[in-house]
Amino acid sequence: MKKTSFFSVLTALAVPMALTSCSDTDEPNTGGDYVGNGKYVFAATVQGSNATSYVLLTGESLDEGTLSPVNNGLLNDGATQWVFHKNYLYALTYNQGNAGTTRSYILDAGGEIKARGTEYRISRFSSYGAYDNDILTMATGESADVVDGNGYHAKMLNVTYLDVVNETSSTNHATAEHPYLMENFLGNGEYVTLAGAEQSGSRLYCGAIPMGLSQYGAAYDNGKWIRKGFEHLVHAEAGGSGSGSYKAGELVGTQYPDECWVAIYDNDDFLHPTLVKTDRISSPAGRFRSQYYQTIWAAENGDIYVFSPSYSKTMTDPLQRTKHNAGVCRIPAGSKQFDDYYCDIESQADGKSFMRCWPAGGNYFLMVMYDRPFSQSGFAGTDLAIFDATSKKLTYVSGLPSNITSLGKTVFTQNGNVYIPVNVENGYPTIYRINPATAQASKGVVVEGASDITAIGFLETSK
Amino acid sequence: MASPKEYILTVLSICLLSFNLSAKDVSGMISGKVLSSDGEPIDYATVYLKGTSFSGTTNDKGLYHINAPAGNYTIVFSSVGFEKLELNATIKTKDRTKLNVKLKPAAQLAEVIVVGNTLSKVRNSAFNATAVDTKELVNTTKTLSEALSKAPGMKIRESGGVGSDMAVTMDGFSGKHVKVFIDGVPQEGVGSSFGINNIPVNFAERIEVYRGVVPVGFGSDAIGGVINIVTPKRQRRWFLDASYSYGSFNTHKTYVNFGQTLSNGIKYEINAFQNYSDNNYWVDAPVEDFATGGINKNKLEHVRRFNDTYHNEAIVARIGFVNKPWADRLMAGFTYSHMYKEMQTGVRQEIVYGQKHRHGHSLIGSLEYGKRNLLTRGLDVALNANYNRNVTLNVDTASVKYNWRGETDRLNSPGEQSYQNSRANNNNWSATFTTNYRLGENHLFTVNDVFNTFNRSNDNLLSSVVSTDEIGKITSKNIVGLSYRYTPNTRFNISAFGKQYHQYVSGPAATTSAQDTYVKSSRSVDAFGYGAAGTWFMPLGFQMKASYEKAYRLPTIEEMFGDEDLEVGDMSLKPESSHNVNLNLSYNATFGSNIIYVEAGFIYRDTRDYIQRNILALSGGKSAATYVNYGKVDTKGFSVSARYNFSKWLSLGGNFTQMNVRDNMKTAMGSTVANVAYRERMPNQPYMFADSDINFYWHGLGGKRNVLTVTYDNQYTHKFCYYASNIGSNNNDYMVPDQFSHNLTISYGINNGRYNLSFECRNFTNERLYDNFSLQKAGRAFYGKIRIYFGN
Repeated sequence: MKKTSFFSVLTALAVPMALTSCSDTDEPNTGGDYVGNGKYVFAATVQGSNATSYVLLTGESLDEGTLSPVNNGLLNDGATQWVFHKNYLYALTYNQGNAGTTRSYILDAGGEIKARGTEYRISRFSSYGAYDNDILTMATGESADVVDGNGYHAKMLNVTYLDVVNETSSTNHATAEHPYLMENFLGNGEYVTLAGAEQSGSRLYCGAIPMGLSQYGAAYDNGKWIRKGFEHLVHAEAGGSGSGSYKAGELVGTQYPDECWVAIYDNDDFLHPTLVKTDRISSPAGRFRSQYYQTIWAAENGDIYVFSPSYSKTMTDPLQRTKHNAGVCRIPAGSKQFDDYYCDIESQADGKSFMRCWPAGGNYFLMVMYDRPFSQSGFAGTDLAIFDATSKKLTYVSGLPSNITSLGKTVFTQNGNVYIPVNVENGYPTIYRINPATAQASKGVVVEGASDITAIGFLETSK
Repeated sequence: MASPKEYILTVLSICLLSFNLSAKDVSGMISGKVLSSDGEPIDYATVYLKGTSFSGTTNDKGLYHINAPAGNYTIVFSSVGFEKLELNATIKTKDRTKLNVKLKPAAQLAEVIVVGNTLSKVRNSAFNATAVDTKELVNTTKTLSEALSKAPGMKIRESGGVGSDMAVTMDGFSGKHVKVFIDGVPQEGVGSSFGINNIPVNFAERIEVYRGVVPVGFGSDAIGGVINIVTPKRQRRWFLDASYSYGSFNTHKTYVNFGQTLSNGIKYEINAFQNYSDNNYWVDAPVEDFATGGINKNKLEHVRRFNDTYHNEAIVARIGFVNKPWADRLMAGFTYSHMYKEMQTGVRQEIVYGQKHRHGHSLIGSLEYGKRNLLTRGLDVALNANYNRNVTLNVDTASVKYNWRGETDRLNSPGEQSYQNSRANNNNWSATFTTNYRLGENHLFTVNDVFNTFNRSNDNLLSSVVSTDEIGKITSKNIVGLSYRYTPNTRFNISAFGKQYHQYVSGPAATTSAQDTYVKSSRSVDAFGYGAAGTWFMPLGFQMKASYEKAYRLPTIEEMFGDEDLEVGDMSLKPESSHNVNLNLSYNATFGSNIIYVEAGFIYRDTRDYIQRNILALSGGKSAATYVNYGKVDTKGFSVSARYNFSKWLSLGGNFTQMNVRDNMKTAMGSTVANVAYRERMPNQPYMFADSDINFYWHGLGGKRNVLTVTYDNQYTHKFCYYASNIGSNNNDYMVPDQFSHNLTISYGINNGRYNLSFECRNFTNERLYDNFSLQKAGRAFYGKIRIYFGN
């Protein structure tokens, strides 16, 4: 199904822990064809000695030229996640540490980027998407109402709806009738976090990632959900630190690593999902340490491709490691089931998996590949490849600089090309254009003076 | 007729007689100690034999000696701030007459003048040090941090009212770069219930500020400087100092201090205080509308704070022996403090909380021992040991959200910001050992060692089964310093010193990238610092001082372990380091009833290897570290302080500071390309500020020993930008505006300060005050205080 709206949704999933650092989100900016005048917008971070500033820059082109934040651009408070949706730019920020309010920006009649007058306070989110006029943010949190005898709270789904046209913000409301519980979501007792929300037609597709047993789930009915042989995995004491911290009584990591689940909703009320499963790949979420990324994408024809990097191969206990290779399956357009489509990506890459991926127009996907297999330590996501879903072929991108230090967290697609920011050694962040048909990259705009480009997109001039 | 030989001999002996030093045969010596009536030695007091040229000055221990031919003399003792004393004295041949005296403070300058020997000791030292005399402020409701703002180069930034979070900035350095001591004991890790923003000004006698170059006596990695709070060592037989104040926003403050020194040498002292305030002042803020979920930032409403109550209570008890042959001072102490603080906003005023709060308490046990001339003459020893256990609970469990009008809306999940009910337990041991050895008149060696170890663990109290972290975090620091001071005469002295820093940390580190297994991992950091300081007392009341130090700040355990996403064995972090240079010139003079003091100081700091988060590490790049050494800052600044006193009627003075703190890093993080912020002013830092005060004293109003004091003081801060000033085109959106606030105090003291009554009006022009971007402080406020002071 062809998308004609400016639909940019970056979806990432971060581990829902109190001390999580920023949740990385990657969003393909599938612009489609542009009807009005406008400018490309870059969200840049400038790092000095002991001081970081955030600035929004505008430019006429992605393919050439340079931009600079010196005395140029709109200073702002940064964002946990930038989202372009229906000609508005939202700085999603949740209230943790130094973060503040969520703001929105437009390109005014004079072609200048400007903040709109309304700001929002939104709660913590680990994943986001969009549906019609709303930007959605989701997280699995504790239920205030459903509490067991130990004082453990059941996990529930919190959704915030940001209406970009009417400038309002609202949330789902848990009631006795609809408690939005995420416990035992898949019938195996584990609690689930939704990774991404991909709209296709009027349906919403979310990766349902089982996270293991919460304190509530592990204690439920005297531990009936703890699998035989997995009892030693329930932590006796709290421990870990930062985003990897766990509490006593938790079983961290799923007990079913060889399954892949997708939740399909008929609208955005997040009630009554259809749960579909395949046993050929592992959980559909990209991973890097504490970061989770969306890996369910709609191709241009509406087919939903579900990727899994098999990250659970890095778990310490063999019971929690998956036996599947990193690969991809498919839910055809309009269907509520996986079909026979399967492709093993890991074997095409010499045993290396991928960290995340985005749609790159047509039936192409841009994959960020790890530089070595999981069995070797120190793997990092520094290589790019194009996966052609039609031919099931993985081709490494050529024409990239040899001294890449890190790849961007965001992409933008336009006219059949996909653009990604790249950081190089001893250089400034540069946008590279990749032609998915040829897997060739060519150098584009350089943002001189920035340390990082955290989002790229396009805004039309407002009337 | 005398022969030529006899004649020459006579002339020679007459000549010899007229030389003080060599007239051994017919001269003697008079010496002794000069003390104030408080028992404190008076240094640099002038002692002379009236009508002769024989004179001397007391050293820093208050000791003097004069060699003169035998005879009867009138010996005169004089020092600024004290009444001149004249006594009859006899010098005997080849004999030493001992004469110890006590000088009475000059009545006209009793509560007012800044010169007390101990304050001048700090001011006259070779280090760039200032002493803020808190005795002037005993009738105000200020806390120690508010008193600190009267020192040059110091900026206190508060985010709200009484008990609010506060940052101390010294010459552009803040946070972990500035360390606080109380009586030479480090307060790092002591907890938030006993800190300079909640201790009343009556608790201290003075606050010493050492900028950039720190004497070895303060064993700490303070790259910016040290603040030392000195409590009064009252030598009186008994005393009682008690006060109570009440003021705007339902603020109550009480302070009591009493103690006794018994004839058998046992001394005890109790200090107790409390602060309470609802902090319900008015602010102008945009309000969240629960119907639409939006906050209209262009529409400000005048609203009252409602979740900002703060209170703390503390009691400090000390008991021990003084002035025994085996110890000058052996005291055991115990402190208990508790605090409760509600959190009203996040980092921006738009985000409001209604139930989030924090509370905590701390227990401190301490032992101090000091002895001058232990075992041998000239060897002074001081030992201090301290154990501190403090607990802080952060509570955010409400399932309700609030806006500025106090309206509420239901939340699905508990936690207004982030669901937590956690208890942080800190255990802190510290021991300080200092020894001074005086070799002869001119040489002083000092060795100081400070050992500090603290461990931290967190308990999660959210469920009935309390879970504790398996692997706690431990930090141990040992800093040893050696210094040598050479004092050839009273006009000049120079010191040189070296410090060795050692730190050991251990905590949990993930062994796999899946972060499912943690092991205990440890790291060590070492550094060697050094420096020198010298001062020259020039004629006509001028003094010049210069000092230099290569200073360090050791990385904290959070920085060494990064985000805790690290695997074992990752990059190690270097300490931050700085070359600190100070140059000061001061002038101090008395002309009849006029007393003038002016000091100009120039500072230079070249700081490098700033430890900060590496934002690039989060995009899956090759490097795994999240804290890196990146950043160079250079600081040039000057400050001018002046004070003028006219007799006993008037005192006025002020400070002006201007800093130029620039990003000196040419290249971007981890790269060779240019850093666009190079040579730009460091953001979010006030760089030009001033304060002044004027005091009028009306002696004898309503009674011979009564005084009415009227004080006006103000503070000015030039506007500064929250973000880097050369980035973006809209810096005006992020400016903290010019701040100029005015305060007025009237106090009336009866019977030489035995009873006191005062009224204060703070911010009497009701300015909108912001120390930090977006966080407004209180408007006009009134306070009244009564205080009594007895002692013998």
